[in-house]
Amino acid sequence: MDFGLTAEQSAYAATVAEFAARELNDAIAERDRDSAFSAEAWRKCARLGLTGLPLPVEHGGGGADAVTTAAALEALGHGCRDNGLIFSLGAHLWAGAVPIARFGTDAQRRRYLPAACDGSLVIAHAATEPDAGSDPAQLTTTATPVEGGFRLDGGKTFVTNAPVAGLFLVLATTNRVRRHAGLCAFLVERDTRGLTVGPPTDKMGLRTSPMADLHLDGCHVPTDAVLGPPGAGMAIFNATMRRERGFILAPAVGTMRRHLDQCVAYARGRRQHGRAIGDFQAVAHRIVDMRLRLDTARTLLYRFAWLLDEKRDTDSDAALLKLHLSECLVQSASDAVHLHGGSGYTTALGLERELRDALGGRVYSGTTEIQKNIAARLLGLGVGT
Amino acid sequence: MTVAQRIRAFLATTPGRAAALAALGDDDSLIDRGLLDSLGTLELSAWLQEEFGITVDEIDLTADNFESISAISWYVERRVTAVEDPGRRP
Repeated sequence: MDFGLTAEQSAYAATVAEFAARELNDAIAERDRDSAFSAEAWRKCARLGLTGLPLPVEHGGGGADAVTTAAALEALGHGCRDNGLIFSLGAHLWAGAVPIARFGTDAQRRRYLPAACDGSLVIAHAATEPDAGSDPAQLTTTATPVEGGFRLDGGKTFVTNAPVAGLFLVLATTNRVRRHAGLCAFLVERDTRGLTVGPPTDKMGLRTSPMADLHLDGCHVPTDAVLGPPGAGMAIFNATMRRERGFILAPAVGTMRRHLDQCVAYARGRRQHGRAIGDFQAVAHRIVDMRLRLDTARTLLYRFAWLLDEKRDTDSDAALLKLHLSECLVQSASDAVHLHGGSGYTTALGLERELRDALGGRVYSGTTEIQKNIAARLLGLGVGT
Repeated sequence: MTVAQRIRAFLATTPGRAAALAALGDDDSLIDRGLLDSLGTLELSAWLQEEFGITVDEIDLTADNFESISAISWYVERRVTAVEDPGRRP
């Protein structure tokens, strides 16, 4: 394993960090308060190539390998304080565009990927239902074969990007008795009759990332809307979740680095009892713990990316990475609030928003407990999920 | 041991599966009997890759390939052939 970045990778990461700090941080407090997604910031990300970074070059993407992608996302997290925008980007890439690139037909790739890359098409992944989250075998949204295609019926919840998405990757079952073996993935365009997007979901954090429920009521889709070969729904779901778990929090490494930089600067400048507060062991040790969490999380991220580039098995690594990164991010944001005292607790510095945003990481893409269950199962332990 | 016997032995190492496997024929569905769920497929895939030195592509984790011990054996044999003779399609 070599975690050293090439000169080209480092230069690209520096470009992304500088761009993000300069272009993506306008009026975040106001947009957070108003739950407003920034279409302008999305377009700027697209112009830099971020909405298609790991996608094939022939369809307008950047063709970046996993390590390059990790470096760019870390840089994005360091420069950009709009965590909701970053989350939307992650959902678009890992749960939408990448599965199409990986499993789509040539026609599907040509139809959707160029627009996904240039930012004109936002993709949403619709899997979770009110009674089925981390266990897709329990999905109740049905796909019934009809002449020329399928009829989709059911409801999806917590669909990130739904209010702004032009395309939905919908997971449904063609045979509930067969549980995971009955799953099928569909590409459903927003204007398809029978598809309705509910009102925006109000959330604690990541408020600039739009979310809504999805209703499918006699929604007819053609046969060529099926993603992947027949019976591959579960394979597509597993592959999608592997990358989502591995990369959805990659920007958080940059975010934690930003927290650390900010806390070190504050601890060196803020004086109490005639000394910089960083001279107090209790403060210094808290910051050292932040550094340790950053380094361990970063190592796991780049190890995962390296394994992916090596085409090695990464299911367990993805679960452990998501688990560790999400917990480290929450603690990092909490420490940043704490170290800044009263100022950290107010909205003025934006650190309380960082903490609210971080808490979502323990929940989306499978909770911390689900990640532990996955890792346990892959160790050969008979833990149910 | 045949490929099928090795797969059966591995599956039996998971707590709670051994008794059910004993009454299962090689052509019987592991999925319909509730003996192989989604995570179990990933667990089995990781073991197959290590045990047989093959690569299991993400898109190959389908019911067709993992329906029964016979189906898994047939898949493994095709992949082993692909490793030994890369020019031949599995």
